[in-house]
Amino acid sequence: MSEQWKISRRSFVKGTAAAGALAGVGYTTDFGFKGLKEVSAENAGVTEVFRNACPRNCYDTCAILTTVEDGVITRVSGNPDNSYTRGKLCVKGNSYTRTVYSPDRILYPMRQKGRGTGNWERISWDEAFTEIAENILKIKETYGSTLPICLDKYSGNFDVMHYGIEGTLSSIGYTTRATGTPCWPAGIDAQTFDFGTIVNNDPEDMVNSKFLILWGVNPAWCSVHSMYLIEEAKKRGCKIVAIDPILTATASKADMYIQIKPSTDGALALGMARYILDNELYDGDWMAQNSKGYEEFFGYVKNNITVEWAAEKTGIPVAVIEQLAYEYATAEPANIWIGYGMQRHTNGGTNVRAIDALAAITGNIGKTGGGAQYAQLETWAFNYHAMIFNPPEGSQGGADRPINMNNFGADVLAANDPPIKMMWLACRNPIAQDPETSVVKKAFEAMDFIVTADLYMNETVKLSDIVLPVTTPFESPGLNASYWHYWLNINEQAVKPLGETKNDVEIAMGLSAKLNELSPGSCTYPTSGDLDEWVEKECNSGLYKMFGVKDYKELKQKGTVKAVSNLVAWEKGDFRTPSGKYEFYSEEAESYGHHPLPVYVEEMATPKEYPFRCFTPHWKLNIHSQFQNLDWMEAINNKPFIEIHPKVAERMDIKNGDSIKMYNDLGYIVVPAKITGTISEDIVVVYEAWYKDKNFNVNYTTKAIPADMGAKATGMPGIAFHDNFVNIVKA
Amino acid sequence: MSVTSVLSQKFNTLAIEDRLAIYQLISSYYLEGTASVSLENLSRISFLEQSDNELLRASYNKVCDGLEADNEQANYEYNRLFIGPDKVIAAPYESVYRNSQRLMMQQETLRVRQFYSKLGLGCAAVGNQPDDHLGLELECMSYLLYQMLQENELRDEFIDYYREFLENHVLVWAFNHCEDVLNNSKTQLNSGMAMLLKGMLEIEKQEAS
Amino acid sequence: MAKKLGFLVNSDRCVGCHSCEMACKNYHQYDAEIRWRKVYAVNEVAHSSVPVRQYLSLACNHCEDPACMKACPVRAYEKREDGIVIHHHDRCIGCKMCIMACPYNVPEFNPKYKKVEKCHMCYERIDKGEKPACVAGCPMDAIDVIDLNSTSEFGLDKEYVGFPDSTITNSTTRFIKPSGLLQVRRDK
Repeated sequence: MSEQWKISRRSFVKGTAAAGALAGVGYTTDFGFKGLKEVSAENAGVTEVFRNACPRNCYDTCAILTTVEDGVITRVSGNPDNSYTRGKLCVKGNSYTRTVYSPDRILYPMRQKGRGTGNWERISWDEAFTEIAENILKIKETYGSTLPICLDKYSGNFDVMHYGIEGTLSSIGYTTRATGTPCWPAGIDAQTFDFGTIVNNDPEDMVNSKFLILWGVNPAWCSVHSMYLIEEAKKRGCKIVAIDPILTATASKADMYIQIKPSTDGALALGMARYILDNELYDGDWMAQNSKGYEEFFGYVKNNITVEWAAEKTGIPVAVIEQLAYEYATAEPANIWIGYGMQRHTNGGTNVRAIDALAAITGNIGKTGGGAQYAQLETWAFNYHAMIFNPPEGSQGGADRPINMNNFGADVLAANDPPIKMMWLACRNPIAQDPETSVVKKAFEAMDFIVTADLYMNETVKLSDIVLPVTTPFESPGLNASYWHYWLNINEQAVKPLGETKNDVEIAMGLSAKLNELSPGSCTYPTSGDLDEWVEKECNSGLYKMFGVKDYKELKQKGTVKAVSNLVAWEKGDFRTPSGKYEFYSEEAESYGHHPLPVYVEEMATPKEYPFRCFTPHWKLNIHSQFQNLDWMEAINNKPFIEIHPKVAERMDIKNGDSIKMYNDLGYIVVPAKITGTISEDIVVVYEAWYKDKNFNVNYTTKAIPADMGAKATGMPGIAFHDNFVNIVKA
Repeated sequence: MSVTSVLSQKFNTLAIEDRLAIYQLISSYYLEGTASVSLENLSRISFLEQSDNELLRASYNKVCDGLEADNEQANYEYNRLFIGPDKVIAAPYESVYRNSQRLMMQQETLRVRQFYSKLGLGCAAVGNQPDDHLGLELECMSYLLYQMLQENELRDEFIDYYREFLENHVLVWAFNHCEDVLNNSKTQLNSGMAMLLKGMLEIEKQEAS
Repeated sequence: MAKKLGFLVNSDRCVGCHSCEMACKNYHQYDAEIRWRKVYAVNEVAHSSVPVRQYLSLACNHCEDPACMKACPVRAYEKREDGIVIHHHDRCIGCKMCIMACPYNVPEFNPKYKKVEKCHMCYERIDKGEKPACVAGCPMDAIDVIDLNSTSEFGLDKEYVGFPDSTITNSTTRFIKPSGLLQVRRDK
């Protein structure tokens, strides 16, 4: 079923008659061609279908079918072979044809003469590699190591081949790495302390739940294929409760929506735990067999938590908390989906621990239709062959130097001994997406040399010295797993790379060749190789077994495959904590400076001068700085805006569309107002996105406030994006 | 009537050899950048200095002035106009101008590919480079003019192909492209080249009617 | 009996993700500014006393008495036996009379071609036994095409808040209104 098939609309392969009257007449030989050449009759009118995968930072990681006619992509669609994708793409996936052939794409390596001047000149790949290699070698000579070279790379493309970017830097020596992850580390740590690591049930299992709490997650906009599964669960009698400070499009579909006071989710969970404890609705057997520290936890709850306290903290009436606790504890099975938005607070990690505890005390772990879902990396059983390379012999520095990705600007400036002098940016747009934009800009100014690999001009490319043009997922092969569902998707090369674009592994190989040419032995990355073979090298017998295929050939033939087992997290009770049990009481947590139990940690207080909490959640027409810039997307919505509560608007005499200045001590933005009753009076909402030609960046107001957790599993704490306090005024 | 006189009748405004030299220069400019607009290459079209055609004469002089005065600004501007990395001002692709969604590699591109194929030609970097790049289209026209100058019986066919290509392709979009350059160029070299192309196309358009 | 095809728009399942309108664009590959199908945010308090986010996806309503067809001076509109109203691009002279006549603002003028365009219910797909691109592309299965002549309209509405009176041209689009939800809010 999944083989490439060819349909000839018309065939030109019928001998010389079809080849055109002038072919082979032999007059071309003296004419000095520069761009055209003599060709024999081509096989025109061929349509093929390729399998691709969407490699974005998204739960859904869709399997795509790409129609290619005469070597040109004409449309995309979802692959119906994948039961999670179900043959449907989201609004972003459907706009992919705009990304490949946009004339705004960067097609050639270019060098900016004078950073930020806009005076770009085109250079060849050889020139680009030479200049980059020379800069690397110069740094090595000046500082004795490659530590002054810093990599900032993250989620622009999660196809496994893009770990070739890390590989590039590993292969030249020890370098500085922006470490950590801005999005989800607090929750990862929380689940690491509780379970040993993050594992969720197969999301397609959600249809088996009888009670589902959507806690600070908005799949309607961020995981629409899961939203379908939620509706399916509803159809089968599941009660959906959405807990969120914002009445999102998801919450609007729930049976019940609870407008919780921001950052107090742990209090709600603990209040529910108190009720469950008092009314003996807990699963004592499960806890006795599978957990450690439940007595201490119950002791804490009994002595410190009351439902009345929780009601005060969260703004939710006692009766509602009790009813919620009752229904959750008595449903069989009951499920909770913990969103990443929910943990973007200073107490985000400990809030997740409290919610995990709810699942544990009711024995809802390791069950189909149950659990505390967050994420999983089990399916990422790759070799990471593109990434893992040793530094050249004699490399100085001892080890890679980590700096906090979540405090990037400041950390780059603070780096000492040696300082950071060169940056390599790929799959990342820090000038647009990082908090404290002005500090990030200062860090850029301090660099001697900045290389960015990207598809389009964006704020980060504008401040770079060299830009390297890269391929889209349709122009080079790869392999994709998801951090949510259990499918593995092949990515075939559907069309030739446009212009002179290269895949990141090709860039690594080209740079290695140049480095070794200029200074033999200075780079350990292979200097050549077939990309398809590189993809195969990422696979191993464990991966094949996990997905029920015999070998790479079968994987390629099927195109999209699902894990055959271990689809219910922790079904065997094989927790990966030090004790091997679910840990209410975690010494690991303690060793990281946290309370060993999931206690309540006070939320960040609202400063008097900045009485509004500004949420910057994900917008529906983008993934960070991708997609909103496309013209098809702009036709739907072309403006950022600020959501303001009607009572606030009335008080300040603000009408829909009025220009509002939102500010704090860090910076400000000016955007039109959108009055909506779907938020509460104490918050404003500005969706984070990058609009191509607009002077809009909400991160001018966002401080790099660390979340409580993240250091254990990801090296650095996360960012409390939603603890951004501001004030507004009519502009 | 000899074939040569038929030809000179059809191309009486400007001789075939002259057209060939001009289009080859512009084609190189689009394919290789401002470096191809050198004193040496310009000398091949120095006859334009005495041209009756005002636009062609003015454009030639402008380009020469630009060679002297513009320096590297011409190159930076060339990139801003045609290459990137920012949104290009005058994308040199037929499909971007004719296609309602402003995309490369569309149906218009494939039609140009089919035309080249009729001549036994193709884009050397097919798949990587859109076939309807202005440099390639002008190269195709140069090739056809070159063939018209050769001693062969297919001369009339080449003339027909030439007119066909202009009518169905180049004349449809290249004027707008030149306008975009002229409206946005601040250097003599780039605006001079756009004027030169525009002047040539106006001659072609007149002859077509 | 001949079919009477119409869109079924289930606002209860619709989450306003815009996949439908983009699936249409992706399948037919037309201009950025033209939107054959559009997703609208519905007034927050249209269906409930407490604000809520809801959405409505609309394309052409393939009316029983198409005003566009009546207004067109060159017969560029045709209503098929199964009810689908088609606009013939080649006959269109760009007079815009249909735009003025349509109560739902469906036909859109494309300045590039100086002609009008609109949704044609992907009749080429329907003729092959497939669903329109928007229906096939909706991740929530919130849109469908139904045959009003063989489907009970029980539970379906002809009207929707903000949607012009359906009886003007007897639109064949049917709606399912969103159901309410219980909200626990901190507003006073």
